[in-house]
Amino acid sequence: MTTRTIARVALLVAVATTLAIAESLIPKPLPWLRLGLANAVALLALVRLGARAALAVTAVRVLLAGLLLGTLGGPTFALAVAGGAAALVAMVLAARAVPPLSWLGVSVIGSAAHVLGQLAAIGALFGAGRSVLTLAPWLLATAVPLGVVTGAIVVAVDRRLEAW
Amino acid sequence: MTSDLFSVRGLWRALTPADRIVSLALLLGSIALGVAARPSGEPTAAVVTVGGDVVATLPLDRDGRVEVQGRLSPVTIEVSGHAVRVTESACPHRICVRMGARRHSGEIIACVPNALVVRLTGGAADASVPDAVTG
Repeated sequence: MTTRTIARVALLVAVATTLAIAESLIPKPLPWLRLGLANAVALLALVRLGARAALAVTAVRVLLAGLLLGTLGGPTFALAVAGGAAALVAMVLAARAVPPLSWLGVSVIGSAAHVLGQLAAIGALFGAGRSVLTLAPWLLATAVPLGVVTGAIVVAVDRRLEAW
Repeated sequence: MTSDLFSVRGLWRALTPADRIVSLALLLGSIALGVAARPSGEPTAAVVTVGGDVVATLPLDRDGRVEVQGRLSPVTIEVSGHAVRVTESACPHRICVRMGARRHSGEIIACVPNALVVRLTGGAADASVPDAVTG
């Protein structure tokens, strides 16, 4: 990584961590609903800087948000790792899809993978087993439109970052 | 791609055919999951686990409440009228409390910060019985 890339990754880490904490503080109409702006920053890193940068942004953001929110090492942190990792892997693979997906489609896949990764973690770590599937329909059905929205935010930001 | 991204129509136009197929497949998949995992049957007990270990089993034919120690805080679980709910927890977002009551076999209430899951067992859709076989 060049110094320039490291600086950009650090900037995106700061933005992602801030958004992750902000989102955890905002009251939501439905308790489990989350726009996923922190993951959107990982997607922006993937769009502008590639898979390694997206990995760095996700990993450091998850660690920092865990540290700042006091969840580090606990069950909430395990879910953040599971969701973040699932979304990242899914988005990196989706970005290589043929026929090509736009960044909106990549975002939708990342959003759905985030939900499924978290459910898998609840099933595997907390003894819920396949009962987690009863939670899946609503989570997945909302993940798709939310993925489109966060993807659109990423594309809009990407267009305004010409100077990068 | 310079379409307007701040309207529903603009967003739809920005989606490639592959985007649309993937989104539709995920939506249909979620409906299929909903049908497949549809809770049914009369559960007989609520099993409470913390980190995967069973810490309490509450029979549903008897009203009552129990307090168990989660990873973060004590959690109060109440059985009332064959339904189970989490009534108190000191976790940050209290999603478990806001999930309300559950009364169908196979349904769960999860409290992530406490690594706690309440699962309704027994009945036709018991999670230990593959319902692809039993119908």
